[in-house]
Amino acid sequence: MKFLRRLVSRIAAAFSIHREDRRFSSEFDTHIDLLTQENIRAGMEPAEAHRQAALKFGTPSLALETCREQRGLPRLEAFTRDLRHAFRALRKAPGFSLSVVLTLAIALGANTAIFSLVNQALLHPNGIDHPERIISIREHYGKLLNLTDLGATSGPVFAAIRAERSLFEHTAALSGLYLTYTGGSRPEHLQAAQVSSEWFDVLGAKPLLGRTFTPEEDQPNVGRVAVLSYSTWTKRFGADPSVLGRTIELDLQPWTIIGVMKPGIEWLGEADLWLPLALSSADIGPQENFHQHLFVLARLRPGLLQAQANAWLRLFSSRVLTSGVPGAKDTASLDWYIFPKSFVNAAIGDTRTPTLLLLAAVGIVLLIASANIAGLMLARNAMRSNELALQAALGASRGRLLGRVAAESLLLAGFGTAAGLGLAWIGMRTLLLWVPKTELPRGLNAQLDIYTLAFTAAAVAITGVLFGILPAWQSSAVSFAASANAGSRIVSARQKTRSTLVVLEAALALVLMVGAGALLRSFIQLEQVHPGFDARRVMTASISFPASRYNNPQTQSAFYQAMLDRLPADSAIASDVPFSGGINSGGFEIRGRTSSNGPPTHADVRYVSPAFFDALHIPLKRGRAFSAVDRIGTECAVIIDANMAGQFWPGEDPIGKQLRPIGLSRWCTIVGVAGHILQSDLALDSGRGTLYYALYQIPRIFPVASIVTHGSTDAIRAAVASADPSEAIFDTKSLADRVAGSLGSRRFLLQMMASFAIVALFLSALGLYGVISYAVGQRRREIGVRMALGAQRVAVSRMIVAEGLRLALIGVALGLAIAAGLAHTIESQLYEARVFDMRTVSIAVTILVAVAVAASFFPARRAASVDPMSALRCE
Amino acid sequence: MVLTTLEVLGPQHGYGIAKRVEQTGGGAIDINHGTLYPVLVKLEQEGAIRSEWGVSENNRKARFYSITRAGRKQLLAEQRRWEETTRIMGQFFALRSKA
Repeated sequence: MKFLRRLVSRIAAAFSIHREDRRFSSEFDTHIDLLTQENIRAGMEPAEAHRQAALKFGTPSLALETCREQRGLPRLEAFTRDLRHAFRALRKAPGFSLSVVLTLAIALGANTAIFSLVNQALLHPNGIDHPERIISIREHYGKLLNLTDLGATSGPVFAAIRAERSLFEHTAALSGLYLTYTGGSRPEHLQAAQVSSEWFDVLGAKPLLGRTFTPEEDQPNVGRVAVLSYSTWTKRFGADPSVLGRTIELDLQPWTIIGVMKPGIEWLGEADLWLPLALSSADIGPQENFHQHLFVLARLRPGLLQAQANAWLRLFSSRVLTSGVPGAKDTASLDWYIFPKSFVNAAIGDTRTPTLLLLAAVGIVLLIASANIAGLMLARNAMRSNELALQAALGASRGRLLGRVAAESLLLAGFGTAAGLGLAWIGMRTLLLWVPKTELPRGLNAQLDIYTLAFTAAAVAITGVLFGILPAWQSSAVSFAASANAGSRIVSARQKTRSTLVVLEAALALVLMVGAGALLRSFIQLEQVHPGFDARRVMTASISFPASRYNNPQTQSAFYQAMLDRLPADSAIASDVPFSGGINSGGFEIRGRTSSNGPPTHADVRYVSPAFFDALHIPLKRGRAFSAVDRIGTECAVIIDANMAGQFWPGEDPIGKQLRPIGLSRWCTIVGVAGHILQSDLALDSGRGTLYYALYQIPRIFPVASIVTHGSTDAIRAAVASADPSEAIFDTKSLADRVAGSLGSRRFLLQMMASFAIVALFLSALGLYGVISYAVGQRRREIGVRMALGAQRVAVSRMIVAEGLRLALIGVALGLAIAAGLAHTIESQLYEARVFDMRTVSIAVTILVAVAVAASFFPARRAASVDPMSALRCE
Repeated sequence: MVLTTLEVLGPQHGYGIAKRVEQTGGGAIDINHGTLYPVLVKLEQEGAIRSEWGVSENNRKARFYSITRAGRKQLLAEQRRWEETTRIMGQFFALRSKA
C-alpha cells in the first residue's frame, strides 16, 4: 500500500520535475536564511554567519539531487535523457543510422511478411476458429491404385460421424456445384458449395448479415435458400444490405438469400455462395458406402486428440467392412479404412516443406542483417571509445555507459521495426497482387495479425540481442587508461570480431545462393519437360449444364455440335482438359481376361469430341482418331494412350482388342493408340494410362465440360451464346497458362529464394565493405609507412583486396559446409537437380568472390591514394 | 523524530523541524540540514505528512509541514515497535549484567 502510494506520487512527480525543483530551491533558500539570522543573533558577522549556515545545511545541489531521486523515477528520467541524447547522436551520424535502420527494416520486413503468410497458411488459417480441432475425414485404399489418401468420403460415413456427438462437436459435408446466375446483364457462372447445416459451426464462422442454414432447411425439396460469400455480395449485389430475403435465379430456378458470410472461409470449395446440401435418406443409405463424393470436416470436442478420433474411425471402418453393406466384401481385401487428417494439411495441401524453407531463408537474411548491424555498431563504438572512456574517467558508472549504448540500440531497433512493419505490409500486398492466386495457398491476405506482431517482436528481440549486446559488452569494458594507452590493441580485437561476423555473413549468403541456384536449375529443367501435347495458342474454357435443362445426352450433344460448328475446325469438347485439376478415372474389364491376375484394370478416363487430338496435337501412334462415325448407335470405339498399351498389352498390338468399362453393358473396341500426356504436373507423371471415350457415343450427362480451341475467348463466348443464350463460360485460360500455372508454387519459391539470396549478397557485401574500409582507416599509418618505404600503390591495393578475398574464401568454405548439411531438405523440393551441382556451386562462388573483390576494391583504392607524408604526420 | 516533532509542535517548516530535532537530541544529533528534505519527501509521498506554503518568521515564503492522521497512526505503530524492541533488548542486557 505504502509502496503503491509512493509509486503513484513518483510517477506524478516525474512529469513536473522543474516545478518541484523550484519548490525545493526556494525552501532551501529560506532555510539557509533562517540559519544565517540565527547565527547573526548569536553574534557572528553577516558574511561569517552565512558561511556557517551554508556549512550547516550542506551542499544544496546534493540535497536537491537526493530529493529528486527520492521523488520521481530516477531510472526512467535517466533513461529518457539517454534516449534524447541517443536521438541527437544518431541524427549527427545519418549514414550510420540510416544503414542500420534500413538493414533492419529490410530483414524484419521480409521476415514479417513471410511469417504472416506462413502463419495464415499453416498455423492459423484465415477466418477459422481453432483450426487445430478440425479434422478432415479421408478414406484409404492400401491395395487400389495409389488411393492411399482419398479426400472424400461417402454419405453414410458422414451420417455416422455426425451422429457420434461424444467425439465430434460438429460435423459437416461439402460438395461443389456449378451454377449459372441469370439475374445480371448476361448469364454468369457461379460456384456453389452445397453444405450441410453445421458447416459454419465446424469452421466457427459467423454471418455478417442474416443467418445460415437450419437443419430443417438442409432437407431435400424444402428450402431453396442461399448464403452469399462476401465477395459475391460486394461484386454482384453492390454490398446492398437489402439482399436478405431477395429471390435470385440460379439455373433458372428461384433461390432466396438468407445471409451473407464474413470474408474468410469462401476459399474452402471456392464458394461464391452456399446452398444446403440436403442429403436424402437414400444418399446416406447403405448402398452409398464406398461412393466417396463428400468433403467432410468435423470439429473435435475440446480436449480430444486427433488420435482418439483416429481410433474411433478405425473401429468404425472395421464395423463397416463386416456389416455386409453392398461392396463391403470386395473392399475388405483392399486394405480400406477411414482416417482423420488435420485440417491444415487437408485444406492447404503439402506446402509445409517449401514454406518452412522460405522461413529458413528469411531467417538467414535476418541473421546476416544482425551480423551486419553488429559490425556497424562495433565500428561506431570503436570510433567513440575515446569519448566513452572520457565519460568513464569523469565518473559515469559502467551501468550508465551501458545505458547510453543500449538506448541507442533501442532507438535504432524501434525505428527499424516500424519501418520493417511498413515494408512487410507493402511487401505482402504487392506479393499477393503480383503472384497469381493459383500459385499460393488459398485464403491468404495481407494482414499483420497478433501472431505476426508477436513473431516480429521475437525477431526484434533476437536481433537486438545479437546486434546490441555484443557491441555493448565490448564497449562497456573500456577504461580510460586502456583506451588511452593500448587503444590499438582493443581496436584489433574488435576488428577480429567484425571479420568473424563478415565471414559468417558470406557463408550464409552463399548457402542462400546455392539453394536458389539449385531451385533455378530444377525449374529450368521442369520448363523443358514436354507434356505430350502442344499448348501453344490453345484457349480453354469450361461450361456447366444445369440439370434442369440438360437432362438427357441428346440435348447436350446437340448443344456441343451447335457450338463447335461456330468455332474453328480443330476445336473440341472434352470432359476436362489437362492441367485443370483432377481427371476422372474408372475401372474396366478386358475381354478374354479375368481380373484376378495382372495389374488392376483402372485408368484415367476422358470423354472427347473427335477433334481433341488435333486441337492439342497429341500424336496418334497407331490406328485412327475418333470421327463423326463414333456416335450413339454405332459400335463403341475407344482410344488408349501409349502407357495403357504398354501396361495391358505389352508386345501386342492393342488395336481391335475389346474392353468394357465398369457400368457399361457394351464391349468397346480399341481403334487407336495416342501418345501419353501429362495430366496435372510437369514434375510428376503418375504413369497411369488414359482411356479416351467418344463423347457423342456414350449416353452420359456431364454437369461440366471443357472447350479447347485455337480460337479466341470471344469466339468461344459467341459460339456458346448462339448455341444457348442462357449459358455462361467460366475458367477461361490459355492451355499454356495452365501448364505454367502448375509450376506456380515452384516459381514462387524460386523467386522468393532468389530475392532473399540477392538481399543476403547485398547485405554481406555491405558488411565486407564496412570492415575493409574501416581496416583501411585504421591502417593509414601502416600504409603510409609502407609507401614511404617504397611500396607501390598497386601492391597496397592488392594487399587490401587480398584481405577481403581471404574473408570471402573462409566464408565460402563455411557456406559450402552448411549447404551440405541442408542439402537433403532442399533437394526434396527439386526436380532432377542436386544441390551440389558443379555449375551452380561454381557460379554462386564466383558471384560471391566477385562481390567481395568489388566491395574491397573501393577501400583499396582509397588506401592506395594515401599520402605517406600526411598519414605519418596525423598520428 | 520528524513525526514526533510535528505532532508536538504542530505545522513547522524545514528549519523549525531541524532545529527541534537538534534541540531534543541535546547536541547529540548534529546533522546537515539538507539531508532532512529527502526524508520529508518520502514521508509526504507515504501520506504521513502534508505540506503547504506559508510565510516564515523572516517573512519569506516557506513550506509548512504538518502531520496527517495516517502519520499519527504510523507514529504510534513506530513508537510501539520501538518500545517493544528496547524492552526485549533491555531484558537481554539485564540477563548479561546478572550473569
